[in-house]
Amino acid sequence: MALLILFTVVLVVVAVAKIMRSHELATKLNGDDADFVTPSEIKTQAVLYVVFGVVFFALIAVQMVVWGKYILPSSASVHGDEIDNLFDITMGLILVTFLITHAVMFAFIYKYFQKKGQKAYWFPHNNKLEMAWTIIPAIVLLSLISYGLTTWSDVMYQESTKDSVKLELVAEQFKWTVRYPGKDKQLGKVNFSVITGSNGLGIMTAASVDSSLVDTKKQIAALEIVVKNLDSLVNNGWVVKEDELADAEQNLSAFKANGRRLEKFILEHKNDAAYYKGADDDVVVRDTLYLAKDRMAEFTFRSKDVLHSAYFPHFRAQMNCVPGQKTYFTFTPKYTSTEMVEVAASEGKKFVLFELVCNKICGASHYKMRFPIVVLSQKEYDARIASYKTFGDEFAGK
Amino acid sequence: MSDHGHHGNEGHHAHDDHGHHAHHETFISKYIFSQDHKMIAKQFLITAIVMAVIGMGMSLIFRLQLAWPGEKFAFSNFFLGDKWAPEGILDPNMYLALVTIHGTIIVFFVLTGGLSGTFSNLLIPYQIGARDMASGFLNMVSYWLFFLSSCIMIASCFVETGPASAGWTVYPPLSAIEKAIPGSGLGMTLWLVSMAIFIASSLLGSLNYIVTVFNLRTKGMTMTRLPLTIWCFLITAVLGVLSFPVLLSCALLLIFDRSFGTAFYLSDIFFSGVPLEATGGSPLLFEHLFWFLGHPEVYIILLPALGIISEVISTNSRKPIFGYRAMIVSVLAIAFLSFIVWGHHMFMTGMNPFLGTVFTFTTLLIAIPSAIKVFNYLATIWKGNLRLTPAMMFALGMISLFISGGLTGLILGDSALDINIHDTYFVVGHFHIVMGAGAIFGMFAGVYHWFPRMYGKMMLPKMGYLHFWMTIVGVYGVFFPMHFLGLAGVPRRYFSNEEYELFKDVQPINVIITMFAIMAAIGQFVFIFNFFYSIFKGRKSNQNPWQSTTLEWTAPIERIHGNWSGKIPEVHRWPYDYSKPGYDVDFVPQSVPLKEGEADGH
Repeated sequence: MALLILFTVVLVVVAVAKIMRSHELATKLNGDDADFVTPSEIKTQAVLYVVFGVVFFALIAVQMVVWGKYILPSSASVHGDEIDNLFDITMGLILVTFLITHAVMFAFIYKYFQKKGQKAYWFPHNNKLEMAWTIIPAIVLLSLISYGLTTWSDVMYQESTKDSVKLELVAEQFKWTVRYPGKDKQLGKVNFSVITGSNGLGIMTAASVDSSLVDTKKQIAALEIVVKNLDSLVNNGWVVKEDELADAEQNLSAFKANGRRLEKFILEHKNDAAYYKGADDDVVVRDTLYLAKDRMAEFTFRSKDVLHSAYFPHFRAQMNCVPGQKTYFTFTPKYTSTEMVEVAASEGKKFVLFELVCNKICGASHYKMRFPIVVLSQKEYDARIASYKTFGDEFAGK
Repeated sequence: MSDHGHHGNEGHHAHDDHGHHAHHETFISKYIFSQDHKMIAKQFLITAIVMAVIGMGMSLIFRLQLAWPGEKFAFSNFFLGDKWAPEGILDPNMYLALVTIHGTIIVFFVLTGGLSGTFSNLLIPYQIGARDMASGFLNMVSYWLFFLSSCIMIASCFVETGPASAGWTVYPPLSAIEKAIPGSGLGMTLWLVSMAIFIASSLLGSLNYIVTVFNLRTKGMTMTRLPLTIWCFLITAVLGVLSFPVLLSCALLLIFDRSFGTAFYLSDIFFSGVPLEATGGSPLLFEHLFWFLGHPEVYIILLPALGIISEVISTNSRKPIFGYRAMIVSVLAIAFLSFIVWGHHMFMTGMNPFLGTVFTFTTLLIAIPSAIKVFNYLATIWKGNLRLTPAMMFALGMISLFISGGLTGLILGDSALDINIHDTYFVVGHFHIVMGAGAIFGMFAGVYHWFPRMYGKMMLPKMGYLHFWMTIVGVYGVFFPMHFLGLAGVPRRYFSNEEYELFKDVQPINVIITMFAIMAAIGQFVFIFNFFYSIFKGRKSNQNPWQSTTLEWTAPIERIHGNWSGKIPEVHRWPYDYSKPGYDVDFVPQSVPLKEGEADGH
């Protein structure tokens, strides 16, 4: 089959070459050889450029009408309105500039295509014109910049409010986990060395730190046996096991380092109850991100493995999740999920639910790394969070 | 300045004799290990065409998946085999690999190596009146390193775990942890090796271009008599020399992290049940180093294309380029600014928001010199006598793309607006129009325009027009709708959009994009046919087919080592004396002395 297709392609190419050749010879016989591109060809191209321009503009209008409904509905967060406003102004400006410069270009092409007897006008430069089109864009841009920067600082430096909630969103291949503060409104400390199967976020309580040292020691013991076995296999000529051995040795060394970190840490914070304060009553939620309407959500983002990006399209919010570093973004939801359906419908748009999108390439299932978001009224929200076990209880198996 | 030019000519007398030598050339020294700038230019061009076909083919495979996710395509299976496209359904890992290698090939191998390599090599000696590059040997080494790195990049596609697949920006930790994605195994190692060699090639080339332009200009060729092409190539080379070494250090540190257990980019990582031992680094360091090259890179791609269209537009408008000095100043301004805007790729990385403020400011400033360039082009075609050759069609097309793509940059460069469209299809649409298609259009304009200079033959104009229309319609058909996807919030590098409630309805847009992509790809075969057909069977061109003023058209058509058979022409005027009052012809070559009392140029 593939051969047949290949054969056909070759035949077509040869045929086209032959046709071109005979066409060339024919034009030569007609004596058109003097001019490489003929005046009639140039005219055709100029007309085509204008036709292209008209169709291009028309299709842009069609796209706006037909696909306008796919554009995100108006912002579901408070700060988003300012961004949308800035966007509309910038977009308006861009569209006008785009249309004018293109119209001018198509008009010039049509008016000045090469004709017999037409001579180009000698016009190498003009200081006034050049000043004009330096200064005007400069003024327009400086005003855009100042509006943009005001918006940026309004969005990025939002003052905490009395009832704002500090919460943490943790990303890993390929899922999200959210941690809410308990009654004390403070999130407890975290550390990647403390992460174990039953403490996926590495939350630090006196109990969880101790148990992760126990866990690490178990891992070390198990890996030492694995390394020993693999080592003897490799020594007996099982070359295929070399990679496995290298892996196991690397893991063993990693767990040993982790053990040292934990021991040092436990020694430093022995009887330091204040250090572990606030972690026991944290609430870990793994299926949905709950937010309360009109209550500011101050996010801290973390990643356990590679880069991810927490993108909240409806809320005009986005921040990368970086391993080894905390990042921040704050926004206040304006509508509950139910209200948003009506807001979108009033703009002719469809809304089913808020979604959190992973927006930084993070591996094969990057495209599936979604997390539903539900915005509730404050009362419903409080009740919902209270219905989850606290981390302390969960860890103790209560 | 004129002193310089004179000096260059003096220094060339010894070389002059060299030009007269009828030394015997073997097939190998003429076509393969050639040190002649014209042959090296052709080698770069043909290698870039091959790489472009591969890069474009990859994009077709993933476009098929994006339009019809989960469908079976014999096309995909034919190229990828049963492992990566079982029954013709693309594997998600291979999807990411294709996206990565497509970007790498087009950005580096086609638009950096291919574009600068072809036209800087061809035009710098010809247009400044030099017999060859300052160092023919380094020039040859530059091409062969480019060839070697291309081969390694292609070879990396055939390793068992697949090629690099962390995106063309290869952000760690994804690219550093071998088990994070299959492509971060041997494929990633080969990617880094290939890029290191590529950087060496690019540096050798750029140094050569800079030295040649400064030292080998013919008598009378002052800096302000250089064609804008040469100005752009020169500034591009300077950008490359200043920024590519940073990418090399960036890649070296990644090699250390991957192979020698260092932690420049790694910190606090808990991966598949193991708290990694390497800790204390920062992925942001990589991003800063990468984009310190990455943003100048955009202009390394764009400036040569702008230089080419400046020349093509002026020649085919039969009119001097408007505001020659303003053009030079704006290119210098763009080049300078390009070094202090890299942070606009990182607004959402967790960088201090204050840095975002600074980078927004510098980024939006670039719009000013860019606007000047656009208005100057429009002023150049105003009241011109536009000869719409295929080269001119592409040059005008590039102005359109430069406007459309540049304007959306105002949105992306504004940190506040970037929050909601960062890493969405809006970005993909933006940069493909302005720097992908824009630079490709400049490259096509250059190939159609200087084909007679390269091969002594003419390309078929009708096929050129067909190619142009298929390409511009294809480009806008593919990349314009992507802005709507971006405004709908669709992220880039998604294998499929079906997992999200939010993106379920936008599929019709993706189908349309893929249809246009297929059409555009077919259009490129028209070009390839035209190119190779014309090399062998094209009509013979005369010495100066476009009635152009610059020096390359004063050299004889047949390829001789040393370019001019007699003395190197002397330059008496600026390069844009088209339709000058007082002359009967509408062009006065640079080598024609000024009449008595005639003012030079501008």
